[in-house]
Amino acid sequence: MEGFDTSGLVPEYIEDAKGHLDKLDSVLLDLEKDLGAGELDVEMVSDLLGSLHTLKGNSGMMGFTTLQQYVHQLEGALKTLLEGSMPLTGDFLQRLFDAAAVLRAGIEEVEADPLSTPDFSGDAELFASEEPAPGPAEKEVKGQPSPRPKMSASPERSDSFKYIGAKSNILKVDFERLDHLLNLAGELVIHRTKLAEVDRVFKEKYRDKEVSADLSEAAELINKATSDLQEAIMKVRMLPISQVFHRFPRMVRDLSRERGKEINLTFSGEGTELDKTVIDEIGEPLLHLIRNSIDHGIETQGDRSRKRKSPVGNISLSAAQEGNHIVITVSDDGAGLDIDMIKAKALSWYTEEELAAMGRDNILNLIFEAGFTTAKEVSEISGRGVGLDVVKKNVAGLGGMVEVKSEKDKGTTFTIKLPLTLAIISSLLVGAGAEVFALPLSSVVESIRLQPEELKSVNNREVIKLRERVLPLVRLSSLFGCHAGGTDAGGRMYVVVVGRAEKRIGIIVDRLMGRQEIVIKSLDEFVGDAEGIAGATIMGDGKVVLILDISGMIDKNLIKADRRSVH
Amino acid sequence: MLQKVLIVDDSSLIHQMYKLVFMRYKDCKLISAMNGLEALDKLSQEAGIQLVLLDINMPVMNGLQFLENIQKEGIHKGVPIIIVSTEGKEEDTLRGLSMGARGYVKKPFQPSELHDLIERLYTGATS
Repeated sequence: MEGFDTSGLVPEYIEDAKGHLDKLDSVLLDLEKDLGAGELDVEMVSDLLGSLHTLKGNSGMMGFTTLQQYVHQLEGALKTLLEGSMPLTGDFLQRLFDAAAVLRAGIEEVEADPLSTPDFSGDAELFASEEPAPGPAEKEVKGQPSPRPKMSASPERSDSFKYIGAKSNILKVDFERLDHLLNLAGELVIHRTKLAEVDRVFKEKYRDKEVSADLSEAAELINKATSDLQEAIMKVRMLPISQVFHRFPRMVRDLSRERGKEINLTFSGEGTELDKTVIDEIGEPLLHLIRNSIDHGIETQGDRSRKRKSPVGNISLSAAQEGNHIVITVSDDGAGLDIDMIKAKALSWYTEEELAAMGRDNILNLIFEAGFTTAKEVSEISGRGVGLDVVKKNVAGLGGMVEVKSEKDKGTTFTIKLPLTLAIISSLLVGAGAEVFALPLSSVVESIRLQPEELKSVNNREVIKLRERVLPLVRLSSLFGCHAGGTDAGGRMYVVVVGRAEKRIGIIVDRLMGRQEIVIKSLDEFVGDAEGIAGATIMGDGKVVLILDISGMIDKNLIKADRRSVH
Repeated sequence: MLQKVLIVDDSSLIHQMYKLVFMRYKDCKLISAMNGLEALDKLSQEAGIQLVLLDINMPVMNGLQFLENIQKEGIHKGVPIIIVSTEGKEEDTLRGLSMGARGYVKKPFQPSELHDLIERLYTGATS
């Protein structure tokens, strides 16, 4: 074509064309399977027609006119199927299979030499007649023991299944298999711990033996290889969050139009990668938060003008990795949360004094409490039956947390903090009585040792004063009813300080047993939801250890102190 | 003259090809959408789109549905739309034109065909 050199696009055309050819083959195979059933899968055939249509258009634009014409014929033949003017018979299907092979040969020809012109003249009659009436061409086809069309008989096309051996750089894998792979790596992590333990014992017993050094070295190498393997598998499962972000522009556009608002949606950090399991689950909480911003955050254009704000509201979505976490924020420059209304609502649960002691941020975060938005006055404003407690529940289900910060007329920012992956976490193992529990290391702030006389009591609750701050305490042993020793040989006790954002509580444990990578197994398969428990893991020796639900414990012991019945 | 054009086509190859076709319009930015729905999004996200080249046969939302949406919602009316499609049903093309498309180019096209149509559209629009 004049002034239009498409030769540079040939590789892309070929790659694309092969995708369409593969689809053609697979649909034909499916049709063959369904042949006896009588019912034609209309959707499947229509889908294939779309694919062929694209191939036809592409072939035409690339100047491969004969290919374009041939695909057009194939398209026509398939259309007769859809229109019902041609029943699907084994013979007709065979002709389609042949045509697919011929087409593939033609595309391979231009792949080998983009200047060549595949000649389909011998095969053109294949679909010249839409009637099953046996024309001369068809007779010929029928007459051959192997009904391979003329075209493929030429020497350069003799091996028409060569494409089967073709190499590709991309492999699509069923996610379940990857999940399985990660589980296996997880098991390896567990056994690695066991090996390290054996190594330690061995070293003590045979300190000066060469075999001990050998074992140590092997254990070390396996340790490293396991970590690398685990990391590599995690990388395979990572997807950019842009996949989720890009679902929103359309919704924001439609909803804001419906509400008579004008909203500009911006993204940052779209390339941030998350485990696919997290990507799958994060869409819904984000949807709630963004809807919330559109409905209640951003004001109408009139209100905004009165406040001397730009008439166009802004919602921004951002994602960033911080250490072992992903932080996602949804910010708007709207009206901000009405703290007085939240306080008024909260008065049915808390006294004025309690609210005063809670601090502004804690009060704002009450909007995530179950039941908060279902109250009449709030649900009218929210306009839907969905409260933000659902967001909190979803995010907690992902091992994360959500918080809100807001300033009147400046805007609201929701922050979701998520672990990088759900499958494997670093944990601190602690003991209470004979039991062992795991605490996600991400929520551990520090561990301290103290003398029992440092304990104080406030409102019948045990607290300690830690660096001028009052820290509520929970006894792990009484929480799960295990028999506790309480103090160590020196008469001291251990407190693990855990936190979520600014909130802190201390957990009194009997023993600190060290840090370990654990594979989370969901509990609900066995026992359903258990309060205070986020999941379970299996140790190297086969023992099951429960993982504590820190976020739940903090909520129960900090905000709703002594108000367990409130939900 | 042309600075921002939205290309709506489900074939990434066609998008590549348009890059070649539009080389003569220096500094013209091509925005890509793979179907009608994406195109609606792009139209509301990107300011200053001057021309839409629209394929008809696409998954998710085809070109006619796209035109229908534009017409129904009465948005982006000022942006000329040219249908660029493989010869399909004549009635589809006519329907498209009746729904506000300003021109029709049959795929495969010579770049000159498209250039001519664009020139005509622009001189027609300004005179």
